[in-house]
Amino acid sequence: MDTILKIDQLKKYFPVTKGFFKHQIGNVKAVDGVSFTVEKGKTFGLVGESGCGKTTLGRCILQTIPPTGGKIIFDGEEIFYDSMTRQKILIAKMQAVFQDPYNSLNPRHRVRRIIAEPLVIQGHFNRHEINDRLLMLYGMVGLPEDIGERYPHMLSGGQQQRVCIARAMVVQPDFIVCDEPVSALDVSIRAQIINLLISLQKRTEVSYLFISHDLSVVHHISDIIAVMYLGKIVEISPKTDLYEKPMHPYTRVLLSAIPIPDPILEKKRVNVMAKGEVPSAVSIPSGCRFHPRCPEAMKKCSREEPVFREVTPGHWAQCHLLN
Amino acid sequence: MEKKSMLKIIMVLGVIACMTAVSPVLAADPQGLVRGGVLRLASASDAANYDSHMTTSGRTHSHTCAVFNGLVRTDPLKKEVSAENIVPDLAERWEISSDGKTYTFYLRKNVKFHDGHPFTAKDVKYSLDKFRDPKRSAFAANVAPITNIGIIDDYTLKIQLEYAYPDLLIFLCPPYASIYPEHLKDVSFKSTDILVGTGPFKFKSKVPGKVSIYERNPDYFIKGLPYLDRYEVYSLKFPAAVDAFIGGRLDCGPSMRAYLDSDRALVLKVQKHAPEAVIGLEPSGASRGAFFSFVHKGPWNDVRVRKAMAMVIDYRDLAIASYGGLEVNPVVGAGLFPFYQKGAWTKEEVDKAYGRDQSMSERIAVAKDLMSQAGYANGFALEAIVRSDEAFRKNVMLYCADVWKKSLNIDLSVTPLERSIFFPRRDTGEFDVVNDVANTMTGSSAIEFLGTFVSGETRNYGKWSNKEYDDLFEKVAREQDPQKRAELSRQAQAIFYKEIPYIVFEGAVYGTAWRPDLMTGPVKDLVMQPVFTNYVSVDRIWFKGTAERWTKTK
Amino acid sequence: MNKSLQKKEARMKKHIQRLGFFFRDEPLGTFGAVLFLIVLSMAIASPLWTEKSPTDVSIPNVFKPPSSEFWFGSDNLGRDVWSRFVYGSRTSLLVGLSSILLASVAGGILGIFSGLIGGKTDLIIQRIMDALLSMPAIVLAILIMAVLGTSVLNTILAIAVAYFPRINRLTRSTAISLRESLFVESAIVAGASKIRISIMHVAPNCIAPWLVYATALLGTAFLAEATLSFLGLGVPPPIPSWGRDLSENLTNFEFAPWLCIFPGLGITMAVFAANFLGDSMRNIFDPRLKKA
Repeated sequence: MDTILKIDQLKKYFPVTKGFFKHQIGNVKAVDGVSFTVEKGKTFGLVGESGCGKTTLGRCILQTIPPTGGKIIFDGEEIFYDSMTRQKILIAKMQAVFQDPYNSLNPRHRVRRIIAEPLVIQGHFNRHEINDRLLMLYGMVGLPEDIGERYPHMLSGGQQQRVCIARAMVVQPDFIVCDEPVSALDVSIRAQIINLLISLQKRTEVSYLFISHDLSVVHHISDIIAVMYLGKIVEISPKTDLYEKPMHPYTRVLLSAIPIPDPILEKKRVNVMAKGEVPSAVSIPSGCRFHPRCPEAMKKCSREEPVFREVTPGHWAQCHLLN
Repeated sequence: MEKKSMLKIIMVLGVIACMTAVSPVLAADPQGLVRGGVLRLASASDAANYDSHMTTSGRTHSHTCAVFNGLVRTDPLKKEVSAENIVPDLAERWEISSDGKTYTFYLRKNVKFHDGHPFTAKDVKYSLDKFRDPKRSAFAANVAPITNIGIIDDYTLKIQLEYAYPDLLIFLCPPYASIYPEHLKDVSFKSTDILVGTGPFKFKSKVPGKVSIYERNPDYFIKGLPYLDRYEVYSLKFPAAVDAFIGGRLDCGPSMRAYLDSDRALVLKVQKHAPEAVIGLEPSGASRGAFFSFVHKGPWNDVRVRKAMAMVIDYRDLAIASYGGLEVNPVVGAGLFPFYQKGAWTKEEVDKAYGRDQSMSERIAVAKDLMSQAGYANGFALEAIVRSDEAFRKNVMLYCADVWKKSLNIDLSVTPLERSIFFPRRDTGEFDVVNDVANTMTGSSAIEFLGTFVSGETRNYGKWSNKEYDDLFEKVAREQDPQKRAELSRQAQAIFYKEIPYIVFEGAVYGTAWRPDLMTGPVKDLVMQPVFTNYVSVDRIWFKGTAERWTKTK
Repeated sequence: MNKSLQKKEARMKKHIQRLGFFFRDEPLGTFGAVLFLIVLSMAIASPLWTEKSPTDVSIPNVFKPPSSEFWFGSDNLGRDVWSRFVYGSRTSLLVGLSSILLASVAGGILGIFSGLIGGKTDLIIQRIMDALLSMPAIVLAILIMAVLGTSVLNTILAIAVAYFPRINRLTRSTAISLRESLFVESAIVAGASKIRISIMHVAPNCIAPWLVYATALLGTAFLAEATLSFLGLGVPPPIPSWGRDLSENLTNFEFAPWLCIFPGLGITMAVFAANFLGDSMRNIFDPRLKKA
């Protein structure tokens, strides 16, 4: 199977400054050495609590912010950050859908203009081509044909997100970063949007990086799921494996947070709770990052950082318990 | 002769009255004269300094006239200021040599400054030497003939003149030629520490921007004077000061001499709301008008243009335009000298010289003709600068702009300027036309009126220069015979009215209002000497205590 | 042909309908707009409102109370107060509008620039703005007038400089919040350059708060002009100005109240108009109050 995206030891640190002259007193290690690969036509799910760096990771991959270190290889080529505009290959092949559809749409532009903008920027399409492509897209994403003349504030939340998806799809990309695309939507609409994404993937073989804080959402769409904690990936696994045999205590914590619709099953379940809050990314705990909150922490955990290793084929995790 | 003996009788009576007065606090003496009380007046702002030799400003003089004396003074009980009406002040008596070139002054003995220092001839020499030094005095030109001031002994002083100079005594009167203490010669005139004089009131305290308080000097050399206990000068802007007067918070509305004259509305206000107040609007020796600059080159350098501009002004309209009505200055028209002065050109003569004896339409025709002769038939543009703080100065220029535009097609723009910008420009001739005052010190001597336009004089703002005029001025100053002097002065005026370096707009009127029971000496009412711009004999002021509005607020 | 005409008609109808909504929903704004139009027409077409010249001195007519000949009376130089009222609107409007235009265009552009660039450039620009903001606007304007001297242009400049940092701050903060917004990020993803982002995405979204603030400031600019003139620092005489006419006639208030009332009325009218308009602008542009 072909790899569309390969990430190697990606790092993103934000400097912490103090005082009038802004001298640096430390770093926020939002992404601290992340590596994974995404296969063509597949969906890579990324799960973690808010503040764990998953959105930053997405932005680094999109190259809207410059990574501090590491390599990103997209479609066989290493990509770089460019402060003026993104690299041409990225504009043409890598798009994004963001969490808040309303704020992702310029309120002063009509829908037609919003969706067409990437094409207009690329510049090698005439009006008719653009129009045709828009009409086709409306059908693909399930928007009425007359939507082009409307302003974003006239649309419902679901329609707004469909517009966002249409905008991402308009350049016929190979890869889309979906940063919590459904968390701002009503539960009733979530499924529609996820199904839309799935059907689009079937039609166009597009790959997704699907970022979410909710394992239940990722479950439906992803082929491979990674769990991220404090800037690092703690477990990567094919979907079914992860849900059936979670290896990292943090994954178990996340899984037990998913409500089970059946009250009897829910009662039977052993709830695993994490202690306390997510620590600040400025002062990352020594050893295993999760140890202060881990229900199964050992002495070793605070001293030594566990190795990220393949426990079963395709199932990687980083925990001392697995040794 | 008769007047003088009368005066002596009054003075003797006055002295007796003073001596018989025992209690200092509001005690009635046999003549009904009341002692005690506070005189409250206002000045637009604090005094910039206390150097009376340097300014004609009431902001300074309202302070120095209470603290300092002169060598001699004008008779406080007579309206007219002249060499004949000079009475002793710090000098007990004086002798004039027969050739008029030597003045010997015999000073009062046992006079003390407020700090206890005895007053001697040293102080007089120090003060008068300063007064005649052009660097330290604005009035040095008026006492220029003095060649030497010699101390004979502690109480005798001799002043040597280059030539006989009959007006000398007038120029040695307060409030200008104050005698400052020699022992404080190193003290800054900006400091209240310099307020140590021989005068009727001693400096007590000052709240900057609010009030200066002076209290009665019990050791004043005229026994029994002053009548008042206290003298207070408030810093108040004038419309507000007039309100304070109407409300009974000030005894004069607002200063002792001036500022009710700046706006008709103020006069109307006092008339309406304090009808019992006495309003005194008196002509002064100063005139106001437009100086043409000879530093800036322009069409106005041509005398025909100046004459045309002078001709078309209607003086009645001008007076109304300045103040909004004739309530302030009912005297329509003016000359370089006030018309009542001896040796002054009369109104008719001035009108004739300016071509104003014809109807307005004829005047405009003649003026237009003059303009085309000068080559400006289509008019020209020029700028007038005025002080921004007094509206009448701007109003009168706006009136002129309108008249000159309509009749001569001259475009006059009027620029009001802040005092700090205005004065340097005025004094250096940096203007086309400036509306300002031809001020005088005492307003009583031909030397002062003519002196304004002598070459090199600071007050000659436009820097006009005329050799013939300068020579005549020299002759006037040296001429002792009053008849011949008047004749020479008239000749000088002829040149002035022919050349028109300055269009006279009006003889300035100084006016104020005061409470009706304010008295001077044994005489019934306050005597306003019309020509002294900022001086009233404060040592002789007393209150009858009958004006309810004012006594109630004390 | 026929079709496009119909389209035009429909569009016209839509505009009229929208205007109708404005009248219905914003009665005060409508009032402000009407007042503003009155003042504007007085300024643009002054000779249509009065035949008399505002600077024509007429000594026989000083201090005439309002009458059929002098609708608003006459002043201390016999000038027609109605005419000065009408022509005074020119000064107010010219100075008010152009100073705010200048301040808001310059302040707006610099604000967007400063907000988008960020970093040291932003820091330096904003410290300069801090210095300007540390003084009350009117004090700053007085200072500038005192240095520059009185003229119409200088008055405009003084007021513009005084209000310019305020508008700068507003657009800068809007630009900063927009810089972080998702639609700007979307535009970056779409490949938009910095210039395209500032022109197509940031600037249009700054317009609403910018316009509302500029309209609100217009009222204060009218007041500032009046204040400067009132203090004798505004436009030079004899150009009629409401503020100057008001201050110069304060002493006459008791005897000729019309000399103060009408210039005061003019100032009030202009300021009310600008403020009412500003208020309803905010109502219209505020997306939260927007009707779908």
